[in-house]
Amino acid sequence: MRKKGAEKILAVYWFAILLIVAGAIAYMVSSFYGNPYDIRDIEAGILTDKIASCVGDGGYLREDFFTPDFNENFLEKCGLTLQTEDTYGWKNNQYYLKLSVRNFNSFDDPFLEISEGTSSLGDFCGLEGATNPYCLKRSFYVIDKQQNQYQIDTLVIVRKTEKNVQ
Amino acid sequence: MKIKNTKGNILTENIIFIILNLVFITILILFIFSRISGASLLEEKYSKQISLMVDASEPGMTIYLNMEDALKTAKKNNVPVEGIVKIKGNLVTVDLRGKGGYSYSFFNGVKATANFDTEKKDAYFFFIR
Repeated sequence: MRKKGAEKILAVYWFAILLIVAGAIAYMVSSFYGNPYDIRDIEAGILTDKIASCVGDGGYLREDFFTPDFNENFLEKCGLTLQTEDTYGWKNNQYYLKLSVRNFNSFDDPFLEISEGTSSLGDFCGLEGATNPYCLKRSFYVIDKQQNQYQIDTLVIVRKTEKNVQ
Repeated sequence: MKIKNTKGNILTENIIFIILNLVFITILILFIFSRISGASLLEEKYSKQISLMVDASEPGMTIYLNMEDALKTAKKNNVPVEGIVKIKGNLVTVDLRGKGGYSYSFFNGVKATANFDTEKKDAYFFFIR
């Protein structure tokens, strides 16, 4: 009788352990697959590459780079659009990009800045937390056909928090 | 007689115990698979993947994307496979359940069109102009 009672108690413990293990697995799977895929880092990387490709032309700075037409119509000239879907109250304000151009051989402030999108997103850069917009800063060196050297710093910010982070 | 009954009880208990365990594990595996291969998850995965593909593309490209699992899910849900991927402006929508689907936008200013591969029937191809 004692042995049988002990077996019953063991069986209860066994099921309790199974329930705990199953609960833990279910929780882990739900929390992992319940979160959306966060692709903002890839988006920001591609956008940075697109900007760099647009600014360069055959290894040199494109000839119309310093013209007002290029600066005023930067998105159109580079074949970019910052329009987003109208969900979660988004009103085409999910991106920000900025180019700062300076002479490579001096530590002067940038002599030209081009920016597009929602500048207020820049306030979140440097803050910790996945729910903040994703910021990507890159720099590249470029020369024009007169061999003048420039450094171009890019800042790309992608928000789209609701669709990438829960 | 008593000894025989006891042996019979032990066997029955063991069988019930094993069956319950198997049922338990089966439910757990089904739950995990339903989470991993859910239609909503596939909609999100493919709409984001296609958006990134278009973002990284250049005019003149044609991109093939194998979507076997998504097409199977669409068939299971009686959704016509020819129309599960739609690109309107710069918005990619993947719908595998006939409930509107999941949309994600791309920033590349190209014109992209989605076409079902009618020969292989397991992929979509995208023309970038």
